[in-house]
Amino acid sequence: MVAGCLAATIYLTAGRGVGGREMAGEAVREAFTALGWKPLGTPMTSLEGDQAVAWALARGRGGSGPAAGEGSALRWRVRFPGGGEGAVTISGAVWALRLPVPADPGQNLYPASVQRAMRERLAAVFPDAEQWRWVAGQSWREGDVTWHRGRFAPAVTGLPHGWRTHLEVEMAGSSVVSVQRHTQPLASDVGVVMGRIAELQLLRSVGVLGLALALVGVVLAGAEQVAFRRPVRWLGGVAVGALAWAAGRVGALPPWECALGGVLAGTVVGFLPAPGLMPAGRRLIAAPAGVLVAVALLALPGVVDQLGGWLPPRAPLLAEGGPALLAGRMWFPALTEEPVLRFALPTLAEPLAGWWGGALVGAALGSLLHPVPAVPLTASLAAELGLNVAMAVVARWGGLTSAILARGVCEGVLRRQSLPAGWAGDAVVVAAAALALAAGVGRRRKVVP
Amino acid sequence: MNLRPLAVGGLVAAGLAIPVPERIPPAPRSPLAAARLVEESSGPPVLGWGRLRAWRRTTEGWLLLWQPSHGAWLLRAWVADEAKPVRWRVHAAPWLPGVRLSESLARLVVGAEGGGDTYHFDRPARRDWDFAGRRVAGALELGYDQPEPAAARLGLWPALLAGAALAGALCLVVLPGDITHRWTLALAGGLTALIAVAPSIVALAWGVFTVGVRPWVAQLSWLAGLAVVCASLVALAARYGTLRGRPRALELAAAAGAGLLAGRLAPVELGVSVAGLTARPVVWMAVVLALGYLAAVAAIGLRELLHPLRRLRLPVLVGLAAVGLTSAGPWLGPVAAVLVASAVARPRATWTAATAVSFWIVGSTMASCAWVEPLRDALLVLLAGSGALAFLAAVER
Repeated sequence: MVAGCLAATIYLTAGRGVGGREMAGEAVREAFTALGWKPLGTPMTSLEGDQAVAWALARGRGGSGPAAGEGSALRWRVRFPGGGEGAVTISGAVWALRLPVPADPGQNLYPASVQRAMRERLAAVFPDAEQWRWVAGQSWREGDVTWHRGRFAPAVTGLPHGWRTHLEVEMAGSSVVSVQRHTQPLASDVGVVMGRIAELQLLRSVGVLGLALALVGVVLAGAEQVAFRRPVRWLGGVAVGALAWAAGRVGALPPWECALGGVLAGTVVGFLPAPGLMPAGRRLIAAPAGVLVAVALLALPGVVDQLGGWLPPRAPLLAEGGPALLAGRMWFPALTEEPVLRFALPTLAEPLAGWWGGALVGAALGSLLHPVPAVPLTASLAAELGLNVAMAVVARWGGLTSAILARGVCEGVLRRQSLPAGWAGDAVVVAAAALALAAGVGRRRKVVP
Repeated sequence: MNLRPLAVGGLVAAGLAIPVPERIPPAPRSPLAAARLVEESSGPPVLGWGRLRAWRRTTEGWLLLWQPSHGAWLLRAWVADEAKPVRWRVHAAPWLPGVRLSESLARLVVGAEGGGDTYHFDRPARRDWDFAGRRVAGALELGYDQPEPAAARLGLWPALLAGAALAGALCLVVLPGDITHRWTLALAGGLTALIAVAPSIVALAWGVFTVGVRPWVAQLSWLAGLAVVCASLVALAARYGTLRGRPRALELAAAAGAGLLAGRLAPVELGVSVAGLTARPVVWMAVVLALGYLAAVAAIGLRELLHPLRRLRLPVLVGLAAVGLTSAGPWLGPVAAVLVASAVARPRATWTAATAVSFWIVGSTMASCAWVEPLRDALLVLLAGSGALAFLAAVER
C-alpha cells in the first residue's frame, strides 16, 4: 500500500504543473532573431496570469481545456538581461514582444506604406499576419525618427464567442519595436466570475465568523483547564501556533490570516484536553485518503461539465510560486483548519450534539472557506463539503494527526497543478505523502517489534 | 398596607419621566412608508428596481435599498425626515457593458454645468463619468451621492463587558451554585423563533447587499451567520447555565427604571430599523433572552471581580455607571443591565438583567420612533411589564 500510494502521488504530481518554461525563452529568442535583433544573455522567465480572466475564459469555453487564446489569462514573461522582453503562451506561441529601440532604426516610412511593412516584418514571427484585419493607425515624429502605431484584429482568435482581441504594433523608422496583444472579455463571462468571487467572499466571512466563535469556545475551555489546575500544553500550543504562522508566512498569505491561523492552532492544541490516543497504525490511512480525495476533486470538474454546469479546478493560480510557496499553502490550511474543525468543534459540541454533530458543523463551516466560482454555485460548495466530510471520517478513524496529514497531502496534490512545473515542486508533495506514510509505518514498527 | 407596588410604579415612572436631552430626532415615518414615498416619486426610468431588500436608519433619514434578483445593479434611495426631495443613486457592476461617451455628451446626460472636479473611469466595456458627485455609467445617469451610514465602532465598553462575561462563565463552573437550564430552554426557543422569522428580518442586513452579489446569496450568508451565532449562544447557555433564584420586585423595578432611562438617553439606530419590521416582537423577545443571559453572566463575573473590594463594591458600580452615562453611547443599555444585575445577588442576576434589557428596548423605541406601530407595541410591553412587576410586588412576602 505504501508503494502504491507513493506511486499514485508521483503520478499525480510529476509533470502536472504549468509547463512551457524552457520553450518560452527559445520562442522569444527566435522571434527577436527573426525581427533582426539578437538578444544577449540567459533570459529570466516568470509565469504571469489573471485569475478572473482565466476563470472567465474557462467559463466561456464551457469548461474545455486550454486552447488558442490561452495567453489572455496565463503566459510566460521572458526578460533578457541586455534588454528586450516577450510573452509566450503555455503551448509556446509568441503572445507579445518589446524590443529595445535600435540606434539606427532604418529609413522612415510614409504612413501609407506602414501597413504592408508591418505585415512583412511580422510574418516571420506570426504566420497569420497576412490575415490580420487593419483597424487603425497613427504616426508621429520624435526627432529624426518617424513612429507608427498600427492596430490589427486577428482573423482567428481562438477566444469564446463575444470576446474581442486586437494587436498593437509599433515601428520606429522601419524597425518593429513592439507587438502587444489586448483581450477584451465578454462582459457576461467576466460578470459571472466576478459576481461569484464576490459571493464566495461573502460566504467565506460566515466561515471565518464560525472559526472566531469556535476560538471563543476554546478560550473558555482553556480558562476552565487553568482554573481547575488541569495540565495545559503551553509549549505544544506555542510550537504548533508558530508552525502554522510560519507556514502562512512562507505561503505569502496576509499577515492577519497568518496571525489568526497561528492563534487558532496554538489555542486548540494548547488549551483543549489531549485527544484519546488512536492505534498508531491507523495513521496509515492519512496519505491514501488525501490522495483519493484529491483524485475525486480533480475529476469533479469533468463530471460537472457533463451535467451541464461549470466548475474550474479548485486551486487558484499561483503565478509567482515556487516550492516554498506550495509548501506553505498546502500545510497552512491543514495546520489551522483541521485542529479547529475536526477536533475543537467535535470536542466542544460532544455533550450537546455528539462527536459527529460537531464534526458536521465543522464540515459545513469548512466548506465555506475555500470554494471557487462555479455554475451553479452549489457545485463548488458541495465539492468542499465532500472534502471536509472525508477529512472528518479520517479524523474519526485515524485521529487528528491523520486528518492534518491527509489534508496536507490532498492540498499539495490539488495545488501542484497551478504552479510552474519542476521537480522541486513535485518533491514537496511527494515528501508530504512520504511523511504521512512514515507517521503510520514508523509508529507501527514500535508497537509490533 | 403594602407600599411595594407603589414603589415599583414610582421607579418605572422615574425611568420615563426624568428629562433627558434629545440626541437623535425620532423617525417620523416607517421605512416602508419611506419606500412608498420613493416609489411614488421619480427614479431611474430605464432600470428594473427589483424588490426592496434592506433599510438602514441614519440620524436624519432612511437609507433604502432595492436590488433585482440578478444582482448586477442596485438602487439606493435617501429619504430625509425633513421635506427634501428623495435622492437616489444607482450602483452598477463595473463589468456591465455600455457606451463610451465624451465629456460633453456625458454632461448633457446629467445636465451638469462645466467646472468642478471631473473624473472618468474606463471600465472593461464602458466609460463612467463623475462631475462633482453626479455620475454617469455609459449613458445611464447614476444619480447623486448619499450620506453613508456611520461605521460601527466597538470601543472600550464591549471589551470590558466581554472580559466580565468570560470571568462570569468561569465563575459558573468554579462556583456553580444551583444551576438551572430553564433559561437555556427559553433561549433556545426564542432563538429558534428568530430563525423561523429570519426571512422577514433580513431587511436589517444592509451591508451584505452589494453589487454583483445575487440577493439570495447575500440573504443566505446573512441567515447562515445568524444561525451560527444563535447556535453558539445556545451552546454557551447549555454549558454555562443560569442560577436558580426568585426575583424581587423592587430590584426588577430598579432595573426597569435604569433600562428605560438608558434607552431614552442613548437610543440605538439599529433599534429603529428593527422597529420597522413586522416581526419586531419576535426580535425583541430573542434580544431580551440572549442579551439578558449574556448580561447576567457578565454581571456575575463583574461581581466576583469586585468581590475583594467588599464595601466599596457598590460605590465602584455607581462610579462605573456615571462613567458609562457619558461614554458608553449605544452600549449604555447593556452596560446598565450588567451594572444593575451585578448589584443584586447572583441567583437573581438573570431576571434583573433581562428586565433591564427589555425596558431598555422599550425606552429606546419610544425615544427614537414617532410612527404608531412600534410605539403601540412598546407601550403594550411597558404596560404588561409594569403590571407584572406591580403584581409581583403585591404578592411578594
